[in-house]
Amino acid sequence: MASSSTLPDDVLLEIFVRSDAASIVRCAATCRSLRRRILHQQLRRRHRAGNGNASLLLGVSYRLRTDLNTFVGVTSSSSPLRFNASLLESFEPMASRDGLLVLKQRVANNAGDGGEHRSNGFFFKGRNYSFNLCVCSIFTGGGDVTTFLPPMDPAMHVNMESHKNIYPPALLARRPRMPVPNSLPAIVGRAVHWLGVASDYWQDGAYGVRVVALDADTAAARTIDLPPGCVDRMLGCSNAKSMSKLMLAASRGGAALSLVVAEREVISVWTLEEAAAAERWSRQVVIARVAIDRSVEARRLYQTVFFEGFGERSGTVLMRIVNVGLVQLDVATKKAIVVRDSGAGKWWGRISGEPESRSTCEDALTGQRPPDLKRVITGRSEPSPAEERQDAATPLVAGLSVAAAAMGSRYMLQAWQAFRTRAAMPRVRRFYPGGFEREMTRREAALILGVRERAAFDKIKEAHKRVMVANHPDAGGSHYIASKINEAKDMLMGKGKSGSMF
Amino acid sequence: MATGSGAAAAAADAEEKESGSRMITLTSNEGKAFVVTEASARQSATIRSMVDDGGCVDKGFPLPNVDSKTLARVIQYCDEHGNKEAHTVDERAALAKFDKDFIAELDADKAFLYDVTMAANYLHIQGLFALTTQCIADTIKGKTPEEIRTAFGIEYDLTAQDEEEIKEEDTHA
Repeated sequence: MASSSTLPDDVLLEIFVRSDAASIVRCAATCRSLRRRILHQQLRRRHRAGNGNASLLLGVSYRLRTDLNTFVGVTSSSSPLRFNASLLESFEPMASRDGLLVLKQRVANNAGDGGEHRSNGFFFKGRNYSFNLCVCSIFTGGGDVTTFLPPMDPAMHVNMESHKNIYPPALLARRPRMPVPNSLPAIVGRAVHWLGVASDYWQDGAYGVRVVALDADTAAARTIDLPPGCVDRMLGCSNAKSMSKLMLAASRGGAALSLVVAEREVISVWTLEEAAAAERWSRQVVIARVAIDRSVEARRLYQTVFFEGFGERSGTVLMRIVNVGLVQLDVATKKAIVVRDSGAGKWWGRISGEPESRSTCEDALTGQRPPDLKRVITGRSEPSPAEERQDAATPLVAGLSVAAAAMGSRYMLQAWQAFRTRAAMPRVRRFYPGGFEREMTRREAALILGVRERAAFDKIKEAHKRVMVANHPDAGGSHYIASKINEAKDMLMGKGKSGSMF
Repeated sequence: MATGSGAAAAAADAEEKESGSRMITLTSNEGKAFVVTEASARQSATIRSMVDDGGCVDKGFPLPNVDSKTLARVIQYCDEHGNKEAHTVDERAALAKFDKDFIAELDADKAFLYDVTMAANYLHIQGLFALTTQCIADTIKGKTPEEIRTAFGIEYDLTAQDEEEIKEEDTHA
């Protein structure tokens, strides 16, 4: 062949397959024959098969048509997917990877008749006030259209009797409640993982917490035990509520399952090693909690941790620590940044409320959030701040993973902003060591409130208010300390009797 | 190894005696003959199947789609990968380094890179093809459709309807 710079279409396709999703979308806008072939399912399947570069996946984008009030697939005309866009009206995306999409029902009340709705490769049970999850495989092709969801009643009990084909007998015997409502699913390989709690948790050394893995292709579930001793290291994980101290995450580009645990003194990450014979968890201590929350030093009172998400690409764990704030923890560098001080207003309402948190996700997904645009994007990759900027220029760009990742990067951006604008003063405080005295003295009262013993009354009131807000039992503080604070105020203001109820 | 016909043939003869392996002659579209070891030639699935079929091994393979300059470069790759073992970490690292240098050199001349890609496609040399296509794929990253069209000499033939669809997909396309 003489020197010529034109390549035939099939060679071009080979090139495109090796490119990233954003470029592929743009390549699809170059000419007709290429467009047809790029949008063809064959290319998408090749992506899934991981031919060339496994980290690439073409995304699917849906758009809410305000005139029709339905979701329509943007490329649906040329590439039909086994995904019913109308699902997005009542379900919201929780996680996605490699064409597997986990949806959670948005509205709890699904005017259910108890019947099974089957449509386009997925099915779900309509039940009143049920918490429905649905796993969709949006790629067409032999045998991988499986979708399922465990229907659940309000108390999170899985109705497993009717799903004996899905749940193994061992699981049925234990009757786990699953998944825990606030746990994010993690997709590893072709399996979706949840945290579940067995209803007979009190009989179990590990409080019945298990990982439930559901293979999307075979629709078979199995359980994975948590690492031995892991729960014992945690502070009182005895019910589903404190499961927020555990978080599942997909790591190594979706090849491995990780478990982030808020232990008593450290935040650790366990990774499931798939050995030939048996699975084994390997533990990696990420950071000592003292390093994050310096105020615990003296009293050894560790605050409750709520994991908010895991940004896979950036390798950051986002968590809320009561009385500390929103903390972003880089797993690789073990650096923790307090993104938002808990003193900075009532910010937690925004991320702890489930519906709000999801809308921030969507926000982060689209970058700029046009009013009529909602996207379900599937892919392996997820946004890092730098990429998110890129994506703002090309919103269709696939490859954003849903919930956790998006949240992570969004807050990371905010974190950076907050970090940049705040004063350069380090958050190092000095604390008075030791516990409380039997009978409160004026000196101790002054130490508790952080004022002089003979301070003016308004100074005392102000100090009392400040310390009280920081320790309020409603926000997770201790009742004992709150009573001590009140007692200190009374003592300094010289009114009331100074006896403590403790 | 072989870069010129006469000298290459002589060198190849010497090497044939040493290694004892068969030598295979490849002819470019300019009629230039390249003599390579069978191990090198087997990197190409096209040639491998012809050799295994027991066809025209003696007469050599005419490659009407490949010019001499390209073929020389392709053979350079095949020699490296066909004759070297890649069992230890060091050996693999050496090959990876070779690949890196190889593609860096090619990257400088786009037209030549495309030629090598075409030749690799035609000869079915999996490794080389993956190497070059990946290199090209990296270069189109972040480019606009217009730039991609220029880069590959693609003719613009989208209809108004297509454009509408593309706009629908992405206003920034």
